[in-house]
Amino acid sequence: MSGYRPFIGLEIHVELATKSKMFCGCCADHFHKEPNTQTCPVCLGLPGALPVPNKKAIDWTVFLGLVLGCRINKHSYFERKQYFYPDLPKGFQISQYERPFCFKGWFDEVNITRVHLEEDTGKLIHRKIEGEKVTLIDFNRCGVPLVEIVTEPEIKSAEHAKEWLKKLQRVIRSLSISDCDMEKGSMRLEANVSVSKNGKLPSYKVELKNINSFRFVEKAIEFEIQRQTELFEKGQKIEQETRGFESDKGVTYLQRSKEEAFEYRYFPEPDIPPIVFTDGELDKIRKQIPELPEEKRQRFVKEYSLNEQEADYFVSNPSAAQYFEVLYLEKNFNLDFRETARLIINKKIDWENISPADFKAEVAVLQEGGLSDQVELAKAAKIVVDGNPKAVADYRKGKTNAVGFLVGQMMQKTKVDPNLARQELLKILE
Amino acid sequence: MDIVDNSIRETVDLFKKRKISCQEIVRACFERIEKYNLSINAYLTLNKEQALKKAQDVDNNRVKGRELPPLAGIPVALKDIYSTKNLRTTAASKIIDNYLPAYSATVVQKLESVGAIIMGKVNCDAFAHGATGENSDFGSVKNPWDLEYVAGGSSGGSAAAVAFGGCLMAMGTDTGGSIRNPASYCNLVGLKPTYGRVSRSGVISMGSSLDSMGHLTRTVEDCALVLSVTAGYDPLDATSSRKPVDFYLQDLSHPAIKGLKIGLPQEYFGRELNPEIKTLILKAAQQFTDLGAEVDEVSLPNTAYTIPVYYLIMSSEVSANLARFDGIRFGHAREMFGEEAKRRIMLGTFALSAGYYDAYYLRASKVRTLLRQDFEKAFAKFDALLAPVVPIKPRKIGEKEQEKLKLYLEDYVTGPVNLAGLPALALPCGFWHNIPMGMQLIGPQFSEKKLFEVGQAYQDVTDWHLKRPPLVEEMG
Amino acid sequence: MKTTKISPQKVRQVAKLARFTLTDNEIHKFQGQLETILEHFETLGKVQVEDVEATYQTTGIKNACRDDKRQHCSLTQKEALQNAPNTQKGYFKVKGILPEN
Repeated sequence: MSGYRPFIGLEIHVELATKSKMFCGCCADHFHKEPNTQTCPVCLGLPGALPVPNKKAIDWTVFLGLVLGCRINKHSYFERKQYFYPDLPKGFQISQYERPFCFKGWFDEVNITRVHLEEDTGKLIHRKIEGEKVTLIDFNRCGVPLVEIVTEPEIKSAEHAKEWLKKLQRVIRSLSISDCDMEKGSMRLEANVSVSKNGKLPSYKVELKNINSFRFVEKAIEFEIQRQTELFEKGQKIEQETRGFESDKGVTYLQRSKEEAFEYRYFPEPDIPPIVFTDGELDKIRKQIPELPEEKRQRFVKEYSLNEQEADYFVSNPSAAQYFEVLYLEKNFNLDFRETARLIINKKIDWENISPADFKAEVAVLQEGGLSDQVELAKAAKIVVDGNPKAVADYRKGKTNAVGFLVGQMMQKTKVDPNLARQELLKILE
Repeated sequence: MDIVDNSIRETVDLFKKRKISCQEIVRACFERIEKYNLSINAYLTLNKEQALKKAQDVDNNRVKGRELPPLAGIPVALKDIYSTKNLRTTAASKIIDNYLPAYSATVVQKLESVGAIIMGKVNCDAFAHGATGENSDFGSVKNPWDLEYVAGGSSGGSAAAVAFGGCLMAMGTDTGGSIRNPASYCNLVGLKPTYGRVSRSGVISMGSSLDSMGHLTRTVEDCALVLSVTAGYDPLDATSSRKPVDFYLQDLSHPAIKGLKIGLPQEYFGRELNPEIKTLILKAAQQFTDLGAEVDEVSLPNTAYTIPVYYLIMSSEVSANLARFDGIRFGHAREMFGEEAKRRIMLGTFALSAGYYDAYYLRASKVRTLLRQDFEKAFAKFDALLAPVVPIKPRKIGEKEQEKLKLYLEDYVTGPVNLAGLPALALPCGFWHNIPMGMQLIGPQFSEKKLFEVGQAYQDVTDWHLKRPPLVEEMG
Repeated sequence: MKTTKISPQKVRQVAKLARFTLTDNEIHKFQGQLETILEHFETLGKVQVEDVEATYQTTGIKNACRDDKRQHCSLTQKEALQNAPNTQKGYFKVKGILPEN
């Protein structure tokens, strides 16, 4: 650019898909529920109510940390992060500071500083009611377990940030611990951006908040790098501050200056005893780590000679991947891997509705050409329809899969292209 | 003397012998309340309708010959920091003078499940901040023994309510001495259980790592009975202990004192201790010797640091615990906090703030370890420790105004027990002029059963606990 | 222990963190009181605490967790709102604040 190098670090919050909240037994699924209908004295912050941690949330945090290559603090504890805000009923958030569950990780060539566990806050809605500005608060979301992932400032560009985050999202989704969806708010982002000319990490960083899509991450960071570079070129100083992102204008704006920064006064949470892990427990969690998307993609490319796009398709569609691999399990199928992949990806064979055995049969027919004469096709189709009243009735009831069964029946009797067979059958059935 | 001046045990006996009914005793307590509460200011909120209704239910069950649970029909008062569902809970502070909890504390539910009758909520120092009962936003609690004197604190209302016959037992809390101190002032038995022995769920937190949920009764036996009900693990309190609850009443009829080693912490008997009070405690020590115990001196060398350690840790926890009072979901604006609450919040916020955390909060937490170790070393040689509860002469109402901050310094005999999480049993052991005076027995964690035995042995040979305040004696 | 002098500015800062609005008189009063209290606490600075672990809890309990089960403990909307000074159609209501997140 102009000799200024950006330093970008990311903070990602992920809502865990546990059944209950982090410190109480309230339902954690808060999407589209009537306001303040899923609260209890604990998550509402009523005097006297005490927090009791959700074991699954802790296990999943460690699980995620291990997947992200982190070291685990075998002796860990929660802390109180104190500040006042209407969405924070206790006046502090139970979070982690000195000893997070996970630290010093590594994912897709970026160092991860820490992965820790905390509770979510309530939701604020800003409105104007009868000319007066009000803020409405719903505590249904308050207390839902939230994992925070913090990276070192090693992200190189706005585009890198976007790509890295997409990969992270894919991995987290593959673990089935969160639907990690930015639109639903189960994945939230903050970016810390600074620039420097001398290649050294600057002493300040600007926190960007209120970014709720991958596209906006890229735009916000791009804008911010530009804004900071321009300020430096004018000879101005930049201090620690928090900025929001206005998506329609594509600009960042000041939210909190350094002087207004919260001072959190962390101290160990006295209501929750420390959490201690044994080596045995950590091994057990480690063993549950599945094949990760990147590993799978590489394996599909290597083992099956697929290209990147084809491998990507199977990584993004786990059921297709499973079907594909089952086809080759019995070693009685020798269609070229890439051919099979194409048949599945392009849905040339209706693989979702037929068994792998039937799939193999259809392939065999395709390979040998098969019946194509219209009259013969129509005859064969009629025989099958007459001979299978139940399947026909099912189809008429709305079970469209039944036609697949009839195709199979046709193919058992004669060599025929499955698509042509289907066409004929449907002519009769409609 | 009246039926309301009996112990719980005596009352249960009278119930069993059909000499009195539950409704009679509940009504008698309400009569006392009507007569004396205005001048003593113990009760803030009464639960009369519900209490009488429940009393009726208990009597009906009795008549039907149903077996009654251990505290059936016993009138109980609750310090106004115990959440009671739909019964006003104020913490004696104007900031939540209209708060109706939507749930009840675990201990309250336990008491109700064994038939206890909740008479109402009693006064205390606001948010339990104080040792005289004068920090209440609803007026000071007066000592039934002499209305010019304080009832002690912070559970002053709890003590006064039992002392004047407005109930037969009361729940309080002890964070730095707040059950033992008013027990001493009002001639009652006061138990501060081991931290974690009784659930804190539903009780407005003061110092989260220090708060103990205890109670005040007339006798040691009553005290043991109540602990059998309130003690036990609670899944709603992560700091509550899973240790099985002892059979506290089991050996009370034959307490084993012979050969018991009782230590007198020399640092508690120094220059600061009022000589007349010292005499009373040493007399009690002699009585233990006469009973066969071995009494000797012991040192708790880090005692001098108690006050800074206690106040820094307690205020830090308080400052965080009172942050939820923001006037949004309940209560009024933060300006409505009383002066003492504001002071402690300011002190705690300061102790946790950047640049001061290490020198204050962290350092205090480390010295706390040294104080714990003092006790561990002492209990390697001794079974229990005997100590004063109130080290200075009893205070008259209004005295503390001139020496607000000096008051903090008196917690040095009670505070260490909370810092170490130990149990302590306060017992009447005499009088300073016309005001009762108590002593405390401190034991290792979960040694309540032993403390009860020692206390019972003492009450078997003394009659301090049988005395009642003059105004009650006058009633006849 | 560094100092027992607390500036009025520090008192104001602490008051802000504690969400208190104090008058100048109150700032002055608290300044005096805090200084007095902290002066009494100076002895703490003399204690040898190297190699001493801090005590945050006295129970020795570890791993006090709960299973991930939904409890039927929730309050109704009415109960949740029952003490609130201001509500609006099921929400708690406060004066408008600048949106941050």
